[in-house]
Amino acid sequence: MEHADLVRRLRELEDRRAVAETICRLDTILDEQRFNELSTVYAPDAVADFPSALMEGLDALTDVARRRMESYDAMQHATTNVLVTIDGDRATARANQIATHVHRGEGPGSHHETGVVHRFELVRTADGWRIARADAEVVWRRGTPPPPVSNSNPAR
Amino acid sequence: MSTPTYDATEMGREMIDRWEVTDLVSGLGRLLDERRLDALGEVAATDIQAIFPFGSADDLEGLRALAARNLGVFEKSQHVITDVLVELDGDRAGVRANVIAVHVPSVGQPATHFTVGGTYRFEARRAAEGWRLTRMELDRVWTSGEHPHAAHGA
Repeated sequence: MEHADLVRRLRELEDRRAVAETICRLDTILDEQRFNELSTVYAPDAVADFPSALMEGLDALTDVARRRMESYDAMQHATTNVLVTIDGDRATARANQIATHVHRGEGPGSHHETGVVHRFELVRTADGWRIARADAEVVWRRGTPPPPVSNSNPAR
Repeated sequence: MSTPTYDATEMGREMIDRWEVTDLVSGLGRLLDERRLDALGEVAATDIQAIFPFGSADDLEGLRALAARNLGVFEKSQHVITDVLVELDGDRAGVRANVIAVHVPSVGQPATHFTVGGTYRFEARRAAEGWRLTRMELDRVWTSGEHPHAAHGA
């Protein structure tokens, strides 16, 4: 392999790793309830189409995440199989997730689980990769989630 | 947008470190599940500090004893570890990961199990023999099923 080709492939690997890390950091920020830091993973005009709400823009995303947490004592977003495709300064990713939400005030044994396929679109910025669009396809559930959060954005 | 500069050697070194530190975490889960506690020194430093909801340890021997006691109740376990986030800092590294640990008391009844969903936080150090974990901490986020010893449940 020629050196220039090696460097090109290494750069693409590093991009793929950085995109996957952005998705893992989103999980961590949600689970540690550091909602102010969602700006480090989402673009300002990001759109997220989740079962809980359709959210347009970082403020809506942050607001819904904060209000959803009122129903829970804790969450775990466990993401695996992160497949990343890089296309210059844009990227797409597909990942499996098992999200477990612990109901407020009922102890760690009371929770519901959702198996989700996430699809992401990301953009490269000067500060790193940011999620521009996130979609969630619910594949299975166990237990009953609380009702969806009403959204200040009447898109849904 | 500024175009980042790439130093292939530096990028390659960092990638190798990330792989090696990530392998420590996968390796820990594997050794626990295969009950190869004698081999924990392959992933953990002799002075490892370990803090779990069910006890703590101040060195490798203590970690072995704690793991033997906690896993001894179960014939099988599966530590599924995801979202391994590695922060490199020279010869040190910090790691945060999710774990879903399923514990099966009797292999004859695989549908009966006790599951813990939690957060692992690790610190690792580069030594002559390679990266080793120097600290590990488990926070329990959720549980499912009954622990055979009631004191561990919920």
